[in-house]
Amino acid sequence: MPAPPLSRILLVEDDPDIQKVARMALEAVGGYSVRVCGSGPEALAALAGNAPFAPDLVLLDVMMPGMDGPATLAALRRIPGAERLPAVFMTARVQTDEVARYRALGAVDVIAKPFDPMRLAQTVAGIWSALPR
Amino acid sequence: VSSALDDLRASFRDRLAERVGEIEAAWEAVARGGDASPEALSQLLRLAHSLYGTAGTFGYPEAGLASRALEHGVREILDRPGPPRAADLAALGPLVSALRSSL
Repeated sequence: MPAPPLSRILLVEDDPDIQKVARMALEAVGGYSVRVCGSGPEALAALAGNAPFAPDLVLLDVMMPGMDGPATLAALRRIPGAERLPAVFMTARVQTDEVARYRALGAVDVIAKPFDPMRLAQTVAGIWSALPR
Repeated sequence: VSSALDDLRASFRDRLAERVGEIEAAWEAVARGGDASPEALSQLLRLAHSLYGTAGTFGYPEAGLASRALEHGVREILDRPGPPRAADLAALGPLVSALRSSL
């Protein structure tokens, strides 16, 4: 069965410079609709608020002040409708044991930082198409 | 898209200098301010870690690698039990200087 199209991405990232370049890469190169949240709590509010954003996939920075990526993912899983939302961690810490830990936490994949902005959308598309249906 | 990315990279050049300045300020708080608390070191770690991923993404690999070296140095201190040793803290100074020199 072909994968349904990936359309809406929630990017949770506290670094404003990465926010800018990742948004540009995903929107202009990938053609995706992107919502950016600068923190875990902001992302949870976006998903659970009165006008919830319904992403197909979430990109989560790991190291954020306050609520980090893993804590955000754990909280996100308790939001009705987001229990199975595919989550991808973005992090500079991608040693084998670290990636295994992220997967054990429920991430479907990990994107290493630094990343090539021109290839980010392609990387995300590859992760999306490889998800089990 | 390529042109827009070039514009972002150019604007990041100024931001890069600012961010190195933030790291230097965090280091000054540790080195001269005498605050080698886990909180102060964690702030230095977070800034260095963040700049590693960001600088490399924007096409400044030297600054990224210098940030990473600093991050590792701080992490070693934080992972070691007990209060930071003066010699270990002093070893961070050249890493901060190397980061500035990478610009």
